[in-house]
Amino acid sequence: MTHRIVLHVGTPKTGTSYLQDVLFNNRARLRRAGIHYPANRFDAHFLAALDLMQLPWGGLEQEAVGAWDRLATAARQANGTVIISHEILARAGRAHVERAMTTLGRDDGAEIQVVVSARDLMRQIPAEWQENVKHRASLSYSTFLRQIVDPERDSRIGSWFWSVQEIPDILQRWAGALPPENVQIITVPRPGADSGLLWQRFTEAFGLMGLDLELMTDRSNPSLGAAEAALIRRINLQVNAVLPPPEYRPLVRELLAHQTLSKRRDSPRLSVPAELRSWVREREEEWISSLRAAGYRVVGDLDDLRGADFLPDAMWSDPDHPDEAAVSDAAVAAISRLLTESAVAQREINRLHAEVDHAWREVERAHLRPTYRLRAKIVRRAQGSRVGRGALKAYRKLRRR
Amino acid sequence: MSPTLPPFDHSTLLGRSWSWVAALQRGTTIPWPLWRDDETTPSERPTTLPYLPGAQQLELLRRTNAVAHARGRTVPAGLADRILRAGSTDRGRGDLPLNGGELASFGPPAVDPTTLPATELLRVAAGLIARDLAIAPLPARPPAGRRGRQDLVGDPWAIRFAADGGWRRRLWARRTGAVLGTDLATLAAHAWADRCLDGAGSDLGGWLAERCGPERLPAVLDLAAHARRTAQRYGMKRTHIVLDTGLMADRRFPISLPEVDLDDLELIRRVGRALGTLLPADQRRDTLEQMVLRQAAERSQPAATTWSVPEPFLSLLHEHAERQVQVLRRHRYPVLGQLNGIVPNPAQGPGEPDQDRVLARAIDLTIDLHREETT
Repeated sequence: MTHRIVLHVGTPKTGTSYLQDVLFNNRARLRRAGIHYPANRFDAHFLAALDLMQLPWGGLEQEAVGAWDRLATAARQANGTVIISHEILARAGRAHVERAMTTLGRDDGAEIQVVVSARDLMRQIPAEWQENVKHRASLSYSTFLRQIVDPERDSRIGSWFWSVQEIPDILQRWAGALPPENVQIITVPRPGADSGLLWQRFTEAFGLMGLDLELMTDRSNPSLGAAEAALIRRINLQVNAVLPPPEYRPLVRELLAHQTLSKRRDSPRLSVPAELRSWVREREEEWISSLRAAGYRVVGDLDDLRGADFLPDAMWSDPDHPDEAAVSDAAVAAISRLLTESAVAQREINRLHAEVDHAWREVERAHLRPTYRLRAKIVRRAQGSRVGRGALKAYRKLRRR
Repeated sequence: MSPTLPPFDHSTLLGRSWSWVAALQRGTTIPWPLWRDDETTPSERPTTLPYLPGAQQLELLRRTNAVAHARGRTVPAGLADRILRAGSTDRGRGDLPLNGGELASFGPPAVDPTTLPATELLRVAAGLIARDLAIAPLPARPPAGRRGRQDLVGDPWAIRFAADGGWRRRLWARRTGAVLGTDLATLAAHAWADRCLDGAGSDLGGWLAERCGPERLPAVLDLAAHARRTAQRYGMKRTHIVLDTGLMADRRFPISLPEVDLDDLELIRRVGRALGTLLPADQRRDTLEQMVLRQAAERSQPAATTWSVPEPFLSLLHEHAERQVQVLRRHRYPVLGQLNGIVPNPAQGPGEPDQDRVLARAIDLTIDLHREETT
């Protein structure tokens, strides 16, 4: 029944959260246009990706049991175009890709297209370190860089980074057996471009042009400055042993990182240090050449994958040796926000205590009523004899019916 | 259906790789660096496989062939195919190409599969075992004995099996509390083992690194704190520090811990992580306990490896233990056993899972799970 399945498999930090938010919030409108985004919760495709790759994720994988098969079944049953999107799919190995393709109906005639959204490596590198930090990592920026430039790629960091960022390799894994016209690359515009340009490219790639979609969304994934990232890393060093992931996520990642510290836009942004920029630029040029030669459809411009001009060295802010005054400012902002939230939570706790106290008093008043006391006396008497216990048992059985 | 592909050229890396794949499927144990084509090598690519498997999958099959041969058996075709098609689970390196030819422009570097660490092969093996276990029927759980009226805190590993052991209180007419303990190194290993059965993720060293420091100890290892909380409920005279559970056991129901070691628990941990997306938490726990743990216990030698922890944590726990002995002695709790038994024995030495042995057990388990098919 399905005509076309569009598999958006990466990469992280390319506007994917915004796209997925819009798709989720507009499922009904999309369905009327013959486009399906099968999801009963906003992270359904993330959970499906975890299931596909048997990937633990701080306990969240427990919510992913069977998620890929459910998504694939819904995709095959839909009539029209189906969009599946999550950036960690970029990491999939060949066995995972094969399972994905067969369960989506490749061998039964389904047309499958693979889409990758891509941004220049010069911005992706610091963004990935920051994302690690927001996921409880405590490694320094310099350690992170050392691991990703290691050609062996045998560290946990290095292997993950390249598996989700090296676009030619991702496309070889996901689309190696597809004709190039079934593969699309959406490039993220360079800094300074019109803020609506990326969304325009997404609508073109996914066939959403002309649709009246609700684009208001408050879920964004803004970046941290160098001082703010340093603060979160220090917090991780302190709390990882005592704050389990389900508590870390809402408090540190969401409340502190996303809702508080990322709003501080005046602190220097993270970037690649001077000694690595030539090496990064070489990688970018290799990718651009390879992707151009492959003949994939490009929405945007492959030259967007060439990082912006370098910052003067004097402006580079090292998150491993940050401006301590800036870190202190950020810490005060974080503490203020935590205190505010704590006060709100305490008010709610007090309100709930008052409700519970009231309920208990009502129960006690009920116990003092003469009719209740008489019933309690009868039950106590009955429990003292075998005949009485039998009668009570029969009575309770009748009541349950 | 995957397309039929033309015969491959033995002179190229790709051709040589496919000929090795075909030989592995037939049961070869020749490692990749020594693999040479000969006239008996089939020229057709195995059409059951839509892509060239990674070095991890190939090496795992080779080692599985070797174990099967040592047992006088061969790996069934279905299992060989599943190994080659298996994905790697958990975090780690992606599909690795075989070395010996032109370097690829992108992707991870090519490798000699014989040099892969056991941890990389375990990522494949654990996923395979998990998939097999997820669809296997669970054996019936033995009936749990009734627990006595004594509340137990402390060593979670002993508590887990104390309930199944069905021990009963012998003498005490009133409620009492018992803090089950042992030397802190063994206790730490027990606490980690208990978490493994519940599907918790960190390896032993990682778990300790996150929680142990000179002034920091995970709550589960703080016997003094357990005793304090128990005494608040039952009073100090009815709070027993139990360092020898044999002294507690009723003759009919002794507490018996399964005879397994850290290598078994590390395998359980890895399989548990892979089971995380396949089974809900309670079924995962039952599967790990009823199938993997029980099988490991049945297979083990009578004298299981001593449980311990790696350095520097062994030394850290030694210091913590000495402090706890002082505290417990000061409060004069009744003790079953020797209070100094909390301090790790110097002869115990550090310990941690050996990943090569863990891999060997994973391969054994993989073969055992396909015992009926193996010829």
